[in-house]
Amino acid sequence: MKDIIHFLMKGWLKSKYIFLFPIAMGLLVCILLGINSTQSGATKNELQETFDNRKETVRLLISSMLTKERVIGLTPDERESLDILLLKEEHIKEILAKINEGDLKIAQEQLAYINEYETYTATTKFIPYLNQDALKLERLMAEHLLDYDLPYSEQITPYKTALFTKQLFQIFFSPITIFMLLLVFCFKYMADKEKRLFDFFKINSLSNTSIYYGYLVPLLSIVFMYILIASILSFLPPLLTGNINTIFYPLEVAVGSEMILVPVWKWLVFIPIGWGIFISFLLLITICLFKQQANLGILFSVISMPVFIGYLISLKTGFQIGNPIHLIASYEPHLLTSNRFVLYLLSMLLLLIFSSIIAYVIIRTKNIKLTIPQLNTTKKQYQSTQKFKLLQFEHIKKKRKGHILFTIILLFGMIGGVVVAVNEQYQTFPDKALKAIESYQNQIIKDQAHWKLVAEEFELEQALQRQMAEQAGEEMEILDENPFLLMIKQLENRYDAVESLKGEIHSPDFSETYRKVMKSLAPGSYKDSESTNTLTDMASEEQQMILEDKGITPWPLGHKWVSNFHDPSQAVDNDHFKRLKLYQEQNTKYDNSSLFAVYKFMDWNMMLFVLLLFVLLLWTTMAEERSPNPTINFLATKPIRLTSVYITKWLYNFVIACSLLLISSTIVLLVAILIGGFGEANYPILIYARERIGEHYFLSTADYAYFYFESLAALLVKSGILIIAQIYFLNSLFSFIGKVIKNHYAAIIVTFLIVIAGYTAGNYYIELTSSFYNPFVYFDTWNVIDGWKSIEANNGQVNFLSGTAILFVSGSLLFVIGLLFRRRVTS
Amino acid sequence: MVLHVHQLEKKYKNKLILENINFSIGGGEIIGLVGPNGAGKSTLMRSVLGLEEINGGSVQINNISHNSPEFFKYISFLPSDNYLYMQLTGYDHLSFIANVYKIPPNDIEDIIDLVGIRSYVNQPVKSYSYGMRQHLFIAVSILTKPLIILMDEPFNGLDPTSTIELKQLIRTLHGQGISIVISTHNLDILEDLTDTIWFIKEGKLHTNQLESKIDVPYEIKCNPNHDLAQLMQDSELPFQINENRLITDAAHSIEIYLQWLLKQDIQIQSVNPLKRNLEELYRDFYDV
Repeated sequence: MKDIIHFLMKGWLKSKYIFLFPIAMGLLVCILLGINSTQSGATKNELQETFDNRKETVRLLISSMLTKERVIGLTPDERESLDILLLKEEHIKEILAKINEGDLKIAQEQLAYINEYETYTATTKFIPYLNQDALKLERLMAEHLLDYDLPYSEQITPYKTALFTKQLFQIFFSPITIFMLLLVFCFKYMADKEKRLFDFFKINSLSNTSIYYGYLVPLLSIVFMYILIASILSFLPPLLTGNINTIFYPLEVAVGSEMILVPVWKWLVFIPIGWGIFISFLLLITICLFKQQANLGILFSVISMPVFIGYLISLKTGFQIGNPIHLIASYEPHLLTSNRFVLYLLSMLLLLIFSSIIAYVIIRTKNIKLTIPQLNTTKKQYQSTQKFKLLQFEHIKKKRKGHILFTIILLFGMIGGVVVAVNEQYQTFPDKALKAIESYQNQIIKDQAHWKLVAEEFELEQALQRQMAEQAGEEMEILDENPFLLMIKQLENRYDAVESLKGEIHSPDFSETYRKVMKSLAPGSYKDSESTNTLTDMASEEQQMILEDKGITPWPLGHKWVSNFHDPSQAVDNDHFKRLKLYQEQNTKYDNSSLFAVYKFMDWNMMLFVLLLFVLLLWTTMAEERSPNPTINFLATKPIRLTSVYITKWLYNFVIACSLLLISSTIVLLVAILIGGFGEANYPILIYARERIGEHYFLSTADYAYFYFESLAALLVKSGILIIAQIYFLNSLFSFIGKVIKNHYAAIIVTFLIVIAGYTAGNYYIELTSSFYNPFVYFDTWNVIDGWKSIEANNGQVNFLSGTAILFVSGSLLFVIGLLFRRRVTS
Repeated sequence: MVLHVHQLEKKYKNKLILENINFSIGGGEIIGLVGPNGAGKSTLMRSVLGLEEINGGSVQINNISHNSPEFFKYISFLPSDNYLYMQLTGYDHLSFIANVYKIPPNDIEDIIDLVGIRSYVNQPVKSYSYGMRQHLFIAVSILTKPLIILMDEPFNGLDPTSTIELKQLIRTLHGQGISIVISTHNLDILEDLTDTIWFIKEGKLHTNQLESKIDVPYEIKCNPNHDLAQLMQDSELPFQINENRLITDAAHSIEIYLQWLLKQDIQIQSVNPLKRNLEELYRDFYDV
């Protein structure tokens, strides 16, 4: 076995491609470092905003006290309070001065401020303006930072702290990298098998155990090297800048309704080890399956099944110590908030060792074969037709490989998975509604506190004025009631109204009642409002009218159609984010109909994954004829033009992708109709527009955007056309790359990288004029169809029609360039 | 239909691999292509077929360039490397080729029987042994009824039975007027099949005709008890004596010598032609 390991490692390390990995990783670190360093400042701004607000509140209180002192004098207690307030103001000034200088080492001043705040609330009658839970967390954070002499650090775009290391770890050690590495290993194995490397080992009197364990160990070594290189690269920025002590920086993790602080080092320890154990599990399964001569289709089916089941179990039952899925997902609240992660990692390691023993038995077993029987036995003869001989030949090649069957299975899985997820959401929406109600109630309590403070101040003001009036011997008009108390009362009523909803949460009419209650709590029609109206308010009302006109039952939940302008991603600060998130939760739509599932499929942009699946498994290029098996020689020695082969492959890719997509989606949707019905084809869906083109367009002056409505069916038809254009373009791109690059697997990887880079750049630089010409912008199917892309791009031309045209034109161009690109059989 | 190769030149990284190659074939001959590893045998075949880009010269069959797909209507190739689709069956390959060449399906069945691949023709190529793949290659290359077949190392990996069958098949094809160029390192097999040998040395092609067995002197080993020199004096035939071995003259038939010796009641132990075989030619040519 030692010899095999040595032999394989030597061979792999000699490959020039292996060095592309660290280069690509280094490049990624540099790019992210560049992006983060130019965009840092969010934490500083957040702190500044927080302390500016506090300063304002404290000043308000001080001025109130000073006024009282000036007018009626202060009691000793009040004098003490004023002194504390003045001290607090001093602390806030010190903090703000430091923040302005860019020095975020403010924990000491912050602690002093919190202490003074607590003393203040203990000695006077005061309505706390800070949430006690949040304050407790803030104190813990400050104490922790003080213990390790750390400043507040950039969390969203870190670049020289351990938070940057954590960010890199989450990229390097993500489920995507597991998939990519596994894919590379599978391709390598198949190439080695084609070269009869395993026969070579066998003829040298080596046992199966030696061969397959000998093959597994270098794979694990590569994984280990990957972890090592990724860790070194990720730790370099904090190490070189002397910020390695930031590994103790505390981060907030939500556990139920509680927030807990967890130091960064726990992630830095858990992520690579957890990831390494998880990929080791998968590699062990892979090697066992390879030993049993499983093909790629079976392999990925068998591997993805336990992963998927593990994930579903974790979704349904929460954390389970024996579930390996937590090595890569949902580990933060369950493992990192305590030292339980050590026990978990140890138990997983033991499970890995136990699995290795089982694998040993499987590898030693000689007579198990997991291949689908008909794949390796006598095949039905195909009768070639004269007219479509090349197309038919491409089809038979894919069919015999089992790739068509596997693609269909995965397509069913993806489309069916969306249907299942949509139904799951529909089934559990009462629970979601309950959470939304509770979140809403929390918000009401927060608002109540604010208005109570204002009401208190108002009463004080009134008392002062009354005293002043008495001293002056004047009569003062006494208000019967504090106006702010009305507002507080209204909030209490709201609280009670939504509280009453909880009792009806499982009633069949709940969604209708919920909608009515929520609507009753909202202000009246936007048409009666004199202020500018948001697109969400206007669209929700207009949509409601259309629904009533057409007699369509609205999708639960909520009476609002939350526009993208009110998506949490559009939040300007943390508080805004929380409000938008709550607003969205209160109005998330649920349904179990077939059309709704298709709508969600588009909305979640699942098509992008389907397209990548086509590239990975279904599609063929000229590169596939060159490597790993140079079958191009077979074709080149026949009276066939290679350009015909290129055209045929391109045509076949297009036809087979459209056909399989149509067949699988039709079957799944027919099943979905049986479960939840066809759905409402005329359901009005909000469409955004940058320019007014028709009379039926509305204008939201608050959001500076037009909008109108189109039926769901019409939009789905448009989505279908755009998807065909996407298939057309991607197929042309892949065919072109497959013509230029000689290795099929390299062509797949390059296409993946181009698509991911193009899509990311297209969305990141959406506001550039040139983004209109970027075909990858139009891969965001639903955002193009509902016009949101035109709002993001601030360009009305970024729409369905131009998207379709650009995809077809650029696809045609790539196809023609590929056609004209000459490559000899051997050059 | 004649394959004309004119001043063919092939370079690889500025190094001349093939230089000024000229030949014409198409008269139903069998030609053996011989040379050490790396001499350029496979490159020559691949260059002729247009699989390798050539740096000079031309390759044509009746004015049809090797760059034209029409070229392959007349020529077939039996490669040394594996160019087959692993996932497809043997029949898939044959069926596709039959369609490209518009060959009736019955011909596929005939070829399957002729080459002897019926028992596994419907199984995926990946399950074939090396010899089975070679058989399929042969079926693929003769299904199209070519006028010229280029065979690159066709005997590699074949068992003795398959070797004998392939030799027989080559003779049959030759009998049908098909020209065959065989590249191989197995000189014995080649010697058995053809007298026309092409050597490749330093990028150049050297044609060589093996001597006919008729026009060579023979060595006749006789019983040592006879005085051969004395006996042959009377025959008036030119001869040389080496101990108990009689060396005949190439200008005279061996039969005359044998008849004379038998007439003298001389016991003959063995008769061997004194020609240079292919191995000796190879040794001389390449200074081995």
